[in-house]
Amino acid sequence: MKIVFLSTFAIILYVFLPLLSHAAPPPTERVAIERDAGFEKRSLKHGLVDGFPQLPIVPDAELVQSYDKTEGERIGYEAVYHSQRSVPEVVQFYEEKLGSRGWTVVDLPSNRAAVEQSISFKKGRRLLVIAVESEGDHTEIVLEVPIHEKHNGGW
Amino acid sequence: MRERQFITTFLFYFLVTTSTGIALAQGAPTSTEPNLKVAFFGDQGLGTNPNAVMQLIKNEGSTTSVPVKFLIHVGDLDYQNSPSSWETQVDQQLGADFPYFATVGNHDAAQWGGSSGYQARLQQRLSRISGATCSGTAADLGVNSACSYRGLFFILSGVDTVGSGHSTFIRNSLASSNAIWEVCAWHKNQKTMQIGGKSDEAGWPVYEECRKGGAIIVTGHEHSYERTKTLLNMQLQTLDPNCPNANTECVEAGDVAGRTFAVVSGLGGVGIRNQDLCLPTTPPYGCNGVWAKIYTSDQSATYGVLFITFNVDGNPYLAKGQFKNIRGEIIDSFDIIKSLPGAFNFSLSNSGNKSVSPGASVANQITATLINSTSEAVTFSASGLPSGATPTFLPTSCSPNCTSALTIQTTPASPDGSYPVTVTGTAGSVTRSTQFTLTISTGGTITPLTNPSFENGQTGWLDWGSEEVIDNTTAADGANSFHTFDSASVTRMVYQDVPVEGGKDYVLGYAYKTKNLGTNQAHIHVNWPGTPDTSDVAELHNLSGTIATWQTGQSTVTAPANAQTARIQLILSPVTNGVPANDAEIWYDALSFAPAGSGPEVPKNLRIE
Repeated sequence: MKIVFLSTFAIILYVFLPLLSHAAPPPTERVAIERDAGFEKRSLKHGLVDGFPQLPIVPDAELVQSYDKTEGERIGYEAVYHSQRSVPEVVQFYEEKLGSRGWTVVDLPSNRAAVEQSISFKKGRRLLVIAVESEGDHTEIVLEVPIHEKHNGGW
Repeated sequence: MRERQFITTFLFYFLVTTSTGIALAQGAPTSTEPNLKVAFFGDQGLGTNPNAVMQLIKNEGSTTSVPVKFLIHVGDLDYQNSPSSWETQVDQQLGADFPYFATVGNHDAAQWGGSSGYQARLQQRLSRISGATCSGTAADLGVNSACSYRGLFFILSGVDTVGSGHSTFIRNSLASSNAIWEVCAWHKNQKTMQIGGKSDEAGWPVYEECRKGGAIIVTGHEHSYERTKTLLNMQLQTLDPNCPNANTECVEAGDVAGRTFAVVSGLGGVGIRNQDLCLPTTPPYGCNGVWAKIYTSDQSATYGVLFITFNVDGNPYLAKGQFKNIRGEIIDSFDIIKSLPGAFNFSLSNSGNKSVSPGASVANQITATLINSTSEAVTFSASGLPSGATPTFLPTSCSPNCTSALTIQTTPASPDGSYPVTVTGTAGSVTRSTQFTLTISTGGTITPLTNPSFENGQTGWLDWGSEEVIDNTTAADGANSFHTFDSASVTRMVYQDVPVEGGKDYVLGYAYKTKNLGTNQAHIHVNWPGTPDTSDVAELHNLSGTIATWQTGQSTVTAPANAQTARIQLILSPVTNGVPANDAEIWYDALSFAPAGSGPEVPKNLRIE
């Protein structure tokens, strides 16, 4: 009986512990604020700053950091992800996902086989630039929203 | 003894004359050929955008009459590890014999060497360039090579990418050069030598050796364009108090007093990044004013090239830099002054554009700043004044650092208009000048609109978007107009602020033409920031359809009593009244804004198409 109990407990540990550790996201750190005359920049490691635009994320991508920058009535955003997918796969993912959400391509990558590619989209007056670069053991994905008037369409 | 002297002499001549070794510095400084224009860019790729960049280089001669004599690519050639594809593209766009030099970038390293790699192909191109020499073996090209062509001495370094000993090589190479103009070129950056997301990679020794050696530093890697002001220490980003102007760079050799600037020119065609550092995104930016110019996606950047022209206007020690984008817009324009250690040098600046009524006088403060050596007396003169206007300098000469008050006295007969005034300072054979615009206006003092006819691209106008362009195919005056279109659901707009006096009437003049316009889509608004009021040019509201020829109009607006600023907005509103979406277009040009009664506000001499 005791053996059965211990075996069951061991199985539970074996099955669920890895899941728990895998599911646990990296701890989100506190928002760091840099402020000076004319601007404020809020940065956050392993999390998205409040108000970050809702954008599709490559399924296996790990969020590294994000920030927003405010200058009076203007605001811009950036988020950095790491993924194991290839550069062309990531570019294709965003082309499909954003296209189906009403975004139109402004600038396609000049070369679909390149190890670093950039693709940009617009939706109304909103501009989104996605830079994708192979960095050896992973692919870096940077979502950049250039600074723009806050009232231009919202997110 | 005699034999030893012979050997020493032989070794000296061998080192001086060999085309593949490092020449020892000797004799007088050597100049580049006059008006030598060189293109600098990196991070290129294959395809449409890179081709547009190379066409910009190819066409520079026809648009400015000063053709590009060669280009220096600061690494990351095609991003596909395909030397043959890259070379084919260059051959097709610029020709197989176009003088093309390059450093190795991190995305080139895997295919840099080898018999069919990038380096071998660059070596073959080098062999076809008459008069060009690069030091070292074929394995050093673009890694640890010092080249000379048309009088320019430039180092192509692979620091932190390929090879070793880069800073030592740079120090020895610059010490051996007697060229007036020297350039250090490599791919990677230090974090504070760019404004994007790049980290410390190149290391400080290469930056510092180039500063000490009196060489301009050009890098790539970050996909944007940015230029520092003149720095006395690259690592500490120590600004040079004697060369503070964002539009003037000073370059001089010296271990302690050496100074230079660094440029990132990474908009070769593969992507455009944003500004992460040194916020805000508008001048004078952050980071204690280190940056003279920043051009990223936050500044609505597109691809482009840095052109530097050496030995300008007959002055071997003067160079002029321009960053131009593939739309032909000049984004950055600056002078570079090279000083020889110990030689007197100074720069001249003024306190800005001035306006005056006929018969009145106006003052402009002229500042002479010592750049190098012991100060000498500088004597001032002015040219370009309208008839009847006389300049007076007080004092007439001074020794930098110093200022002189220029007073321009006009007469009642001085004609209305804008006059480019040049102030020249002379000290022996050293001459420097500074320019400003003098506006004579019967209606009194005004501040004219900046770039009212879009001849300088978007300069002076804010809120630029992807459906707003400069059109150089049609214009009411000059060569350009502002063109916006595709307004299905959102407002297209550019605007500009000018100072006003509260309670005063102002007349706005404008020119326009339209295509497929819907009723109430065209607007020129004058807002008064700080007040709730808006003035609207109502006569535009009823425009509809296509007006193919340029029309002019004017509207009088009254500044609210507490207004200090007028914001002039050129607008295309969302589609209304059944006009097909995405089909409306409007062009604006020849804007003017002046106090009522100050003269004819409707632009003069407009082109009738």
